[in-house]
Order: sequence, then C-alpha cells, then structure tokens
Amino acid sequence: MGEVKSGRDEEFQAFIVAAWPRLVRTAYLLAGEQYAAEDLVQSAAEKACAAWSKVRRADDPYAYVRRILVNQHARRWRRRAPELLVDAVPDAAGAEDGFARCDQRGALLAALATLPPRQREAVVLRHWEDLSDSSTAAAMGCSVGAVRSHAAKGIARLRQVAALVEFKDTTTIGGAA
Amino acid sequence: MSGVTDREPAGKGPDVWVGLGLAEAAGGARIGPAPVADIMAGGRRLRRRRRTVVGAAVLAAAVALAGGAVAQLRPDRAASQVAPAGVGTVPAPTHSPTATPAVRDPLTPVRTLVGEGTTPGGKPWQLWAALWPLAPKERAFEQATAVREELRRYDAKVELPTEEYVRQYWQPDDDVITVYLMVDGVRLGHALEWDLPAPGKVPPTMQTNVNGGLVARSSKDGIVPPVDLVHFMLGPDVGRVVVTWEDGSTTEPQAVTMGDSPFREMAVARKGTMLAKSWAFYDKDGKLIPEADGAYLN
Repeated sequence: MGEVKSGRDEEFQAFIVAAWPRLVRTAYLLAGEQYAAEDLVQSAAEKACAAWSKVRRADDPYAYVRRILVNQHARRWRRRAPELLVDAVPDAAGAEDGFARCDQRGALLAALATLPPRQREAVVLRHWEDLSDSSTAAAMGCSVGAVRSHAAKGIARLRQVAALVEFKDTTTIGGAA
Repeated sequence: MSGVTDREPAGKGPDVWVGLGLAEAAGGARIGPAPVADIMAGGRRLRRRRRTVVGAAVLAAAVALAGGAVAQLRPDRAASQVAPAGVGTVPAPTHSPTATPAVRDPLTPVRTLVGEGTTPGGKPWQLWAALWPLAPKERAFEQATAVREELRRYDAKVELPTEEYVRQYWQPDDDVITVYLMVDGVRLGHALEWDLPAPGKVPPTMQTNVNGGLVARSSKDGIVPPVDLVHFMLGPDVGRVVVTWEDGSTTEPQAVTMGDSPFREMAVARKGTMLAKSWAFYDKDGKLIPEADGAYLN
C-alpha cells in the first residue's frame, strides 16, 4: 500500500526485533515445533503492531505481547489434539552427551505436547519465563489458584514420563545428566 | 514480582530440572530475523480492518434491501459538481448538514465529501469520510457496534464487534474514521475503517504522517472498483502534494478538513489511463517529507 513509516512504526520495529528471539523460544515450547512457533509469534506481533499505541503505554510491553501470544496459543490449541512435529526421528541415544541432550530435548518437547494447553502454558511461563504465580496468572488471564493447579498437574505429569527420569537429576545446563 | 501469597519464580527448588530442561529444549528453536515487513503489513491490515467484499450482484441486492438506509445517508447529489471523466476533484469542505453535531458525540459521525468525479464508464462517484469522535472507554463498545452496524448495512460480511474485541483494540486517543465510495448515488460495500489521533492527541511523530490506500479494491477477493482511486489521510503538518504522471504532467490534489480532526482527507483518481510516475509530499514549510514516498496508481 506504500504506507509511510512513522515514528510509531519505527518504535514498534525496534521493539519487535529485540523481542523476537525470546518470543520465538517461548512459542516453540508452547507450540512444540518451529513453524507453528513462528506463525504464533508473527500473529501476536501483528496484533501488537495494530494496537501499538496501547501496547507501548503498558508498564511492560513485552509482557503485554506475551499475553497476546499466550491467548493466541490458547485459542488455536483449544480444539486441536496435542501433536509434536519433528524434522527427523532421532537415532537411539549414544554414549556422547550430544545425543543424550538431543534425546532429552526431544523427550521434554514430546512430554510437553501431551499436556493440555493450559498446563503447558503454566509450566512454560513458570519454569521457562520464570514468572511468579501472579505474573503467570496475568499472562494467562486466569487466577493465581488456577495457575498453581495447572502448573502442579503439568509438572506431575512430566515427572511420570519415563524418558525424563534421568533428566530429573539435572541441576545444570551443559551436558547430559 | 512475588507477594505475600505469591510463589517465587521457579528458578530454584525441587523442580529446577524443568526449567533447565525447558531451556535446553528452547535452544532447539531456530532464531531467524524477525519478518518485520510482514508483521507491519499484517498490523496495518488489522488496523484498517479493511472491508472488502461484495461483487456487483451482491451489491445490488444489498442496496435493494437497504434502500431506506441508503437514502438517509445519500448526500445531496444536486449540490455536487461532476468532474471530467476519470479525473477526481476536491470540493470545498462539505459536511452533511443534518449530521454535523455541535459537540463531539461518539455516536454521531461527521460526514465529509472528500472528492468526486466521473468513472471511465461515465458514472458519477463520490468519496465520503465519516468521523466518529473518540469514545470514552465506557462507550467504546457502543460506538464500535454503531460503526459496524452501519458498515454491515452495505456489507453483509461485516461482523459486529464483541466486548472482548473492543476491550483489546480500543484506542484511547483515536477517533474512528470510515471511508466509503458512492457510485451513481449508491454506496459500495467495501469501506475502510481507520483509527486516527483525535484533536490534541497527535504525537509529534505523526505530524507529517501520510497514509494512503486504494479505495474499494481487494486483490484477495478479486474486487475491482469502477474507478481507480486513492484515499489519503494527511497529518496536520503535511502541506502540498504533487503527483507526476507518466506523460510528465503534474497535478496538485487538495486535501479537505474533516470535522475537527487534525488530519485532512484527500482523494486522487487516476488521470485518464495514465500511471503515476512519482509522488511528492511536502510539509507546511515546503520541505520534502522524505519518508513519504508513496507508490500509488503506478
């Protein structure tokens, strides 16, 4: 349409370029695969762009956009069975850490994909975004009690996944347990 | 971040493995550059909430059904001057005499004739803008419903807003503008809906803002209007606009004021069958606005 850049556009562009990596990673954990994650973030970013004059006035614009992202995820996944798309089926784990880590990564994504959307959101926001219960509740648009319930149920289900047994002893990043 | 009853972020504790595992897993995401152009285009699409639909047959049916409403909104054609074929003209600022409120009422739009002319097929066209003054938050849903109900009378595909939608997208500083084309006295269904800063709310970055777009056209739906027409909204500090056509001739379309909006409206129709070679937008001091390099009708 040949529209003209405005200062507001430039401000939004700077914001979204900076926030993009973090949003994609969060969306990747929520959606379980790359393309759905990028689609989710782009959709949320478009909404943020459309409402930028409102978003920019928020105390934390990133939190605002993250909430849009979570809402988008909740809407999209409400009627869909959980699924996990992978680029390739990994070989059996070898002795090297790299293989083990790849397996664990895949196992955790697969386990996340089996959680109901709200449990997945609670787990990701609490344990990846490292939000408090109240911040998670704000992002999910629900009560603190509901967050605790969703997160507890989600973690309980993850604990039961056999492929994550070894992972549960992990206390640092950088190699297989 | 944590309060008395709030649980701490989950960085520590027996479930630390979850966070570490999620960090590992998140590392598997490929991070490319943000598709900024696509995002901006999508955002603008949402903002405009462009309403394109209706082919000629559907339009005719809609008009027949909404005849009464059309008659109410139809401007006085006798008062309009029709320009030579294919060329639009800009009338003196004109408001529908029955619709101009004394005070800003979010439910009473101020209608302005932005431009008029004749289609290549010989039918008169008029471009109208309706300014719906900024609604306070408690009346935003009421206003959004009124705006959409009017659009819906001419375009059955327009959906009425939900309260959640209005809560999410209501702009506390913006008037709502709808722009519609009338051909041969009949209002077309493909209207544009915009948000523009209200009086006293224009940020410095939008003083020389130029927004433009083709009217009543949708590539997606294959809708081609009977006249090639671009509608512009110009920031308060935008001055002269010069269009250079492919034969080297130039025109200087004039903008009209729209109620008390700080933005002015402008309509530019294709000159005959010619393509526009370039557009130049100047500020009130005559300086070229470098970022306003629109590519329309080319």
